[in-house]
Amino acid sequence: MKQSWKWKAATAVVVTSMVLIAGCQQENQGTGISDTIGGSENGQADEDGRIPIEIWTWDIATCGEIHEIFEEKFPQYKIVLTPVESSQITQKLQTTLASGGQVPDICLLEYTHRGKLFQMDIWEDLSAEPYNFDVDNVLDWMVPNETADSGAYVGPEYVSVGALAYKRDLAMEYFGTDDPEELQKLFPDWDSFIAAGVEVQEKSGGKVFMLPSVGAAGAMLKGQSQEPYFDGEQILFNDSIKPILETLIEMKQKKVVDRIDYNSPEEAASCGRDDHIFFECPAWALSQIIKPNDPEGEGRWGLMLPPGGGYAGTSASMGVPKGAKNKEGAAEYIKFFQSTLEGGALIRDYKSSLIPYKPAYEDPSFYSQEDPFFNNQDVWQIFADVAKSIEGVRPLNNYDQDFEDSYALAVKTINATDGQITADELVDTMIEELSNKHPELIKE
Amino acid sequence: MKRKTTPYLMLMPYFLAFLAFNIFPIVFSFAISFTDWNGVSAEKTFAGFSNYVRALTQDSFFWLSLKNTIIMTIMIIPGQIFLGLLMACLLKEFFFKWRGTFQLINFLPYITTSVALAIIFQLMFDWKNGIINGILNVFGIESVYWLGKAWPTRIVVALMEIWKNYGYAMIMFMAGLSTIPEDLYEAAKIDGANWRQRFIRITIPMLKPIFAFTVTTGVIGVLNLFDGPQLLFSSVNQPLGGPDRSVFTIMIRFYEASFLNFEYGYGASIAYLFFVFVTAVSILLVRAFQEKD
Repeated sequence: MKQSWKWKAATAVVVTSMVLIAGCQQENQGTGISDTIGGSENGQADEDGRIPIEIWTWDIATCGEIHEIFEEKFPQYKIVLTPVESSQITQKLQTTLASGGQVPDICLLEYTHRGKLFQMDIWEDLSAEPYNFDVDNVLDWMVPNETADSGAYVGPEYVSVGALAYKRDLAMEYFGTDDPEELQKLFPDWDSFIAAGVEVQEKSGGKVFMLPSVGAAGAMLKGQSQEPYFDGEQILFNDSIKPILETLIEMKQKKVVDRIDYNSPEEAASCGRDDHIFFECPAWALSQIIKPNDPEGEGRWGLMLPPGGGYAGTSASMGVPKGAKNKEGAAEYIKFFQSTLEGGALIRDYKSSLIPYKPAYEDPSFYSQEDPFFNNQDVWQIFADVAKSIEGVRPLNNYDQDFEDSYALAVKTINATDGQITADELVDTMIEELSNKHPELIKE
Repeated sequence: MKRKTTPYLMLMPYFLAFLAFNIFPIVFSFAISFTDWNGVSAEKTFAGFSNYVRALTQDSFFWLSLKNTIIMTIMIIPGQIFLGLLMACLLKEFFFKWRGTFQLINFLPYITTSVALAIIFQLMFDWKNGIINGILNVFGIESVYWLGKAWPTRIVVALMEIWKNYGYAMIMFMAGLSTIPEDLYEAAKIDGANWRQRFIRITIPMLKPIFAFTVTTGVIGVLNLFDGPQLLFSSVNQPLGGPDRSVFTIMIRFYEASFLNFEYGYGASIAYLFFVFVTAVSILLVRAFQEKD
C-alpha cells in the first residue's frame, strides 16, 4: 500500500513537472528569427478538415460577414481572428518572435510601426513564388511603403484617403451655401479656411468651431505633405512638420479648432452636435464614425475636398511572417480581398474602405454610389478620385512611432497653451526628445 | 535514502516553476542588460556597461521619469494612508451594523481592473463632457483641461491611484486596530481622554508596525506605477506619459525602451538601475520605522 502511494506521488510529481516544462516549450525550437522562419509551408487541417488562417487584427467588428463569404468561397480555409490592439501588435509580434512562439499567418501592421518592422527580415515576399501577388496592379504611390528594406513586397494596405465632411445646415447658416463645389471654391487654401473660422466664431459668439480638434487639422495637413521627416538618421523638420505646426498654432490662436482630443470618443460624439462644422473624413469614417454618431443625420451631411485638396491618411497593411504556418492560405486571403474586384467590393460594402487594386479605379462604376446620408452625393467617387490623384506619400522610417509620439505631445501643448507657443519651440522639443531616445539622430 | 528523496520530489514542481519563472528571467535580463539586442534577432552584441552609462549620463528621459515617479509617490502615498486609516477608524468606531457592506464598498476599487478605472477617470475628467468640469461650471468655475496639462494630469493620476488602493490600506489598518486591546481605550476614557487624544496617544503608536508595512509596500507599489498613466494615455494619438510627459514614470520609460524601441538590452539596464533605487528606498524606509521604534 505504502509502495503504491509513493508511486502515485512520484507519478503526480513527474506529470506536474512535465506540464510546467511543456508550457515553456516552443513550437519552433530555439529563439530568434532564424528559428522562426522555419515554419511549415502549410498549416495542419483542423478536426473539421479546414486549414486555419490565423490573423492578428484590431479590426474585428467589420470582418464577420466578409469572412463568412471568404470561407464559402474557399472552403478549405477557416479564419481565426486574434484581437490585438493596434498599438500593441508590434509588441506582441516582437515578444512572440523573441520567445520563439508561433507567429500568426497574417498580421495587421500599424503605419507608425512599419518602418521598424520592415527593417527586419521576417516577412514573406508576396510578389515571389509561390504566391505571385501582382504588384503591378497596386496603386503606384502605395508600393514603396508596402515594401520591406530587404526588397520583399510585404503586403498591400487599405487605401486611406481623406476628404472633408461637413454639416450642411451649419454650412448654410455660416457660409450661405451647402453646395460642396461652392464650398471648395470658398476655401481653396488653409488661409481662407482660417479666416472663415474667425468669422464663424464671431457670429456664433464663440460657440461654433470649424473643426473639433487640432489633431484633425494636423492629420489633413500631414497627409497633404510628402516632405520626409527624416532622411536616414538626419532630422528634416524645417520643411516638413514645422510649417504644419505653424498652421495648427494659428488655427488654435484664432479659435478655428476646438480643444477635443483627436480620435477620441468625444470627437466622434461631436458629430451629433452643432458646435463643429467640418470633420476630417477618411473613407472608413463614413460608416464607422459619422453615421453611427449622428443616427438622425440622414441628408444633413456633405462631403468636399479640404483646402489644398484630398490627402493620404495612414492605414494598416497586411504582412505574412516567414514563420507562419499557413502562408499560402494567408496569401490567398490577401490576394482575394486586396487584388480582386470581388474582394474589393466586399471591402467597400462591409468595411467602407478602398483597396489598392488599379482595375477597381479603371471601372468608373466600381467606386460610385449615391449616399442619401450625404444628400445623395457620390461619396465613393470623391474618395476614388483622391486615390487616383495622389502622386506619392511620405516614406516610412525607423523613427515614425517616436515621431508620432512627440508630435502628439506637441499637439497637446498647442491645446494646453491655446496656441501661445511658437513652432520653433515645439520643433526644438521634438528634436530634443527624439535625440534623447535615439542618440544617433543628426540634428538639422 | 528513499525517505529523503520523496520530500524533494514533492517540492520539485514548485522549485522548477520558481527557477523557470523567477530565477531565469532575473538572471537572463541581467545578462542582456550588458548587450545590444532588439529582442528579435538571434544576434546579441556585448555592450559592456554602455547601457548603464547611457541611462545615467545621456538619457534625460531616465531622470525625468525618475523625478515623475518620486513626485507621484509623494502625491499618492500620504493620501492613500490617510484615507485608509480614516476609513478603518470610522468603520471601527461607527458603522457597526453595516460594517461588512461598507468594508466591501471601500475595497471594491482595489479589485477593479485598471482598464475600467482608466476609462471611468477619462470620462469623468474629460475637458468637454466630463462630470467634474460640469460640476465646476455649475459653481461658475471655468473648465479645467485636466488631461491636457501637466499638474492637473498628475492630480488625476494621483486621485485614481489613491481611490484604487486606499481600500487595501484600510483592510490592513482594520486588522491592526482589531489587535489593540479595548482595555487601553477604556482606561484612557476613565482618565478623561477624548477621541482625538485616544487616537493620537493609543491608536497611532499601536499601529506603527502596520504603518511600516503599509507605507513600505505602498511606496514600492507606487514606484512601480505603470498601468494607470499608461492606460489614461493609451490611445494612438496620445503622447506616452501624458502632457509634458508629466506622468512618464520609470516603468513607462522601461516599457518604451524595451517594447516600443526594441532595445531589450537598454530596457533591462533601466530595470536594474530602478531595482537598485527601489531597494535603497525600501531599506531607508524600514530603517526609518525601526529607528522610530
